[in-house]
Amino acid sequence: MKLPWKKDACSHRLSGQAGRRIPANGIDPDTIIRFTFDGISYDAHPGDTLASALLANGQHLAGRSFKYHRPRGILTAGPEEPNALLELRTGAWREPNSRATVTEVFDGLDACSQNRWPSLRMDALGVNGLFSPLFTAGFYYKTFMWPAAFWEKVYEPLIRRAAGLGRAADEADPDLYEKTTTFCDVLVVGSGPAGLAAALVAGRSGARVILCEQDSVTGGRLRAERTDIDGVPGWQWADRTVAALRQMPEVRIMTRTCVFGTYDGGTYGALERVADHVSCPASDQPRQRLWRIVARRCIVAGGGIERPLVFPNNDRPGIMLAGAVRTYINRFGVVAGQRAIVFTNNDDGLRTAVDLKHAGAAVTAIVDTRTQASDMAQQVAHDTGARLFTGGAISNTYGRLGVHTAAIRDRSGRVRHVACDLIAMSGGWNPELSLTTHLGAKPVYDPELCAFTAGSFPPGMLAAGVANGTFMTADCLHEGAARGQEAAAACGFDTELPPLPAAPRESYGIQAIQPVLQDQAGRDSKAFIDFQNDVTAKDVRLAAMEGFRCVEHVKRYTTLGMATDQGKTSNINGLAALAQQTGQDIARTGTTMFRPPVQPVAIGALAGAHRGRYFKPDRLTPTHEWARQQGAVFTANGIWHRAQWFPQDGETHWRDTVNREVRTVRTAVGFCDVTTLGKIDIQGPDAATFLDRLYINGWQKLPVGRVRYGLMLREDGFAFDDGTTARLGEQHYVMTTTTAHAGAVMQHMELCHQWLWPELDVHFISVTDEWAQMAIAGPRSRDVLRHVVDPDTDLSNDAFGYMHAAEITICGGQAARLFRLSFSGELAYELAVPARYGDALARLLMKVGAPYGIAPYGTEALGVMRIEKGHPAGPELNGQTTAHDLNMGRMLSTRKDFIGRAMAARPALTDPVRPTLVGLRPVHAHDELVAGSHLLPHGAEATGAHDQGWISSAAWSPTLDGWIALGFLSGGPARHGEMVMVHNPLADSQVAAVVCPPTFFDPAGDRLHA
Amino acid sequence: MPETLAATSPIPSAPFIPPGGEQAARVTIGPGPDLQLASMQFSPASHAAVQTALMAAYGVEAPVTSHARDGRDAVRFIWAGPDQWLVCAPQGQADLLDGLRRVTQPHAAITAQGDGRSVIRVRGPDSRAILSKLVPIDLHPRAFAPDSTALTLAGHIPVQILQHDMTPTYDLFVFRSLAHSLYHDLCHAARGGVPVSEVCP
Repeated sequence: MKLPWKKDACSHRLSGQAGRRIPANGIDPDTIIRFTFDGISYDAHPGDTLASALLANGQHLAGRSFKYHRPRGILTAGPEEPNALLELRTGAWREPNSRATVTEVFDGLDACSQNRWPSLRMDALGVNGLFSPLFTAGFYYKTFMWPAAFWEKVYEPLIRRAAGLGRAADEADPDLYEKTTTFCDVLVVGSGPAGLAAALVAGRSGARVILCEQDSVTGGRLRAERTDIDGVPGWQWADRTVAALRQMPEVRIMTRTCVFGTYDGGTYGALERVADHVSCPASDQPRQRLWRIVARRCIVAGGGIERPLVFPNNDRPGIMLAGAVRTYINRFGVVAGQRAIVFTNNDDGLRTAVDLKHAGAAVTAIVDTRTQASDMAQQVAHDTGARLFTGGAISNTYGRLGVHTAAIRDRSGRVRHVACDLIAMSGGWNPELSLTTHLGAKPVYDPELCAFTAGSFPPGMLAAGVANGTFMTADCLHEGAARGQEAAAACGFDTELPPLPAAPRESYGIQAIQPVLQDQAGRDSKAFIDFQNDVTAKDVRLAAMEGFRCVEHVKRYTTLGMATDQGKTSNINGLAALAQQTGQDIARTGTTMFRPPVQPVAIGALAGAHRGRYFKPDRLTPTHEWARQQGAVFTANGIWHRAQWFPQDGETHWRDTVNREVRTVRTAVGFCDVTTLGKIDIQGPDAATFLDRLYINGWQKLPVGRVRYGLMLREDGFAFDDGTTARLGEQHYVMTTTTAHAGAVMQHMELCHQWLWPELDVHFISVTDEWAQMAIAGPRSRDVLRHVVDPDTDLSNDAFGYMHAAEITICGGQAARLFRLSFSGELAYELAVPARYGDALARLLMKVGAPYGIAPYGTEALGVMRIEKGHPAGPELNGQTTAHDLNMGRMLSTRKDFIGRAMAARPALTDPVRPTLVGLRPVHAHDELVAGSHLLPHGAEATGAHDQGWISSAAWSPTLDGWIALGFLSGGPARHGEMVMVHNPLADSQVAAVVCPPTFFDPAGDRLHA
Repeated sequence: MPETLAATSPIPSAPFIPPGGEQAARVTIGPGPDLQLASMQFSPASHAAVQTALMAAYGVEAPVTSHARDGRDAVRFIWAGPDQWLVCAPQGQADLLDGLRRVTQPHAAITAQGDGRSVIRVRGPDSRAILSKLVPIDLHPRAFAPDSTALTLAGHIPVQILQHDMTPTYDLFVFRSLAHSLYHDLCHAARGGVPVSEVCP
């Protein structure tokens, strides 16, 4: 067949027309703003979207398709747009895949087409279209199967470069985002006739109402149509209604806010585009705001989405949805073509012919697929002077960068070529159901509407208007008002239905058509179903022929509906094609699952303010600011920040610092903020019984004023946490936990008390934050303390010995708590003061301790000293070890019951060959030991079969001048003195080490009793 | 004679006012009043005895719903969970802990919390909108009024929130170690401004 050829339609048609407008309801024609597209500057008006401004400037061509790089134009006028995806802004602000149809133009907007090289009009990868027989359904699965090694290195980078859409910015997102929560009685989604009527009635009832509109203006389709309500244009009625709503104190109207998801318990996610429509957000202003809306009732009134028709080469620029053509005329004053063909299977599409004629364009043909010409079709054809093809179809189109000719096949099968620069197509409307389905409700197919409608609703949800399958304006108003009344009443706000405004009852008369007309077209023509993912009717047919029946499988095999538009325009046509191929009806074929979000949501908006260093909150000790001033290096311990070490001048390596800190404590005195240890105040007559049941050891006989070490097990018998508990009064204890497990221990105690032993009269509460607690350790610690405590406290060893505790006063009457505890193995104390004085206490200790050589030490020195003393800590209490493993089997009381007792007695947990805590010293003191290394018998090959344990903690001991380690070794206590191999598979190193008791330093404990 | 210890606070003493609000601040964020603060817990079995004692000593019972109640000498009982209360009193008057222990013995556990919790006060007509960016509960006057309290989260930080008056003024009780993070988050939220849809016509 000889193709008619014409010079490029786009440029020809619109030369000299740039920016010409007719009167419209949504723009300010007196103000001109400028934007650029692919580097060329254009005019626009406030109120324009990028799509309307491009069309006004004669630019139909907006992008290249995903797979075949075919020239694509603007298809829609809403968020469902699959084609006109652009890159906006530059640099760190560059944002790909922005829909031109919802992007509001601002002065200075910089937009670029994407997925093309070197230019939009001349795209080298357009050759992909020539290879289209290769790029069929399942292309990737069939082509890139082997060799497997090529996947990551060759295929994926290649595919990603060739396909894909825009480019994300290379830099971090420079904008701010925030999240917020709000509550209402009635949430109304959509501000068309149904939504406005619902909000008005619900608002008048006194209920708290939120009206969300994803668009920048309210009114919905009333802005897109020439529909009169109460004798005025519909958009004016909408403006008046919104003005009335704004007077109601409990009604909140949120524009530019897309409700994108339905979640449990009446919670809805919504994204507000706060500053997308300006060149740059104001200082501190968020770019977007994520709303969590909790609503007792939700009325979905989000309207519908028009379907394209599937015919060969239905994707050329200049082929648009009929409803979108009307939107551009009535809202934006832009006539998308001057010689139009309307192609429809319903009366609604015919309205485009009327509006085009009214706007001054010529309508050369109306192709109505319905076999019987409707009254309206005949009337419209007569009024517009268009030739009516009843029972006809468009069998092909022509025009490389813009349609210039359509091949129309009439009922008899005769094909005529008709010149055109615009084809307005309508396959009918789909109710926008997404929000009704997010919790799992299945839509049902309505053969009369040729669309899915909501089969059931999540609790608290209602629908009205087109979203509910109600298409006539008068009915939308009525249904909206009724739903508004119903929703308000359900929240306890009764109101009467107001008289409804006069509105038309439009005809629809849709007749489903066989979607696939491919057979009549040439071999190389494509009838697109999914424009964004380049899925054609042929792909769906091939998938069906290859045995795919399930709609979810077809979706994934062909990628139909899997692009960023999530198949909003393609879903039903894809189902219809599959149904046709498999011989089932659409109802039986079913539809794919809709999942949130309804529209794309930036990750930044989901993160809100919680990003970078503010991703998590920080917990700071009372001495944090002081430590910072000392130049401390901090480490994270959960969300706590703790001083890790305090470097001094001349120290070039952290180990120099840590060694000095250890030596200072061992020879003079040091102090360390230990506030982060969990502290739990326990009171009540049953407090000792409670402790007895939590810990493996006994508490009844602990005297007032004494401290005891305790170990807790989990219910399964493994060690859970350890710490000391002091008895401050007859019925008053204060427990300490490890920093890491403080929350878990509290939770465990709550469970035990609330659920296991509610009969115990005991109360407990966290006092971790109440007390700033300082460990003061070293042979001179008593001397330092004497400068701090009030004279009535006798610090002598006889009066205040090891494991004593007392409530005392310091600094002339300030209440404090003193504990004689030692983690370091030295003479040591822990002094607690109310947290507000923690900073001052640190400064005071530095001052009064100076003559004794005091220095602060951090968690690293703390760790070295506890390894020297063989105290278990986090690496030893790792959830896999038992009391027996920790050499604490003898602490397990046999005279009482406690959590974990029964399970700890299981044979596997008491097996003497279990890896058990030992000390390890390298044969050559300077051979480094590394935590995580495996322990092997000396001379054994490094295999799993020979694995006898592991190193849990290792450190360089400045005290012993060599490496030391704690570890768990099978049958460990019986093997002291044996040589083993320490194997570090990461470094592939082996070090010979000698097994020893885990207490390396002062095993008799003379120093801490000094 | 050893020197006395000076107190420090984890948040600045001067209230934060978001930029542009200096003339007529619609929200301020700063430290709450300096309070004596104690937790009080007692078992259901002791309810009658303790409530009677509290009524006799303070002229008020501890509330059993999520509210605060004021007793004599400006002693305030704030519900803080089942069988648990925060009790506060202004600094400078009789020692709150001693008083409570005396009145409620031997039934109740009284624990000092004046340093364990910091109080951050958010005040002004915009405070509801700003707090809603962090606190996921309904602060609308129909749901939350003066003397209402709730244990909830502000972002990721556990807080107890108490509405003080209709300004509105809210006090957030937060673990001291997290106070500076909460203060940062609140100031950040305030800088972001009030959503346009929240502005009353």
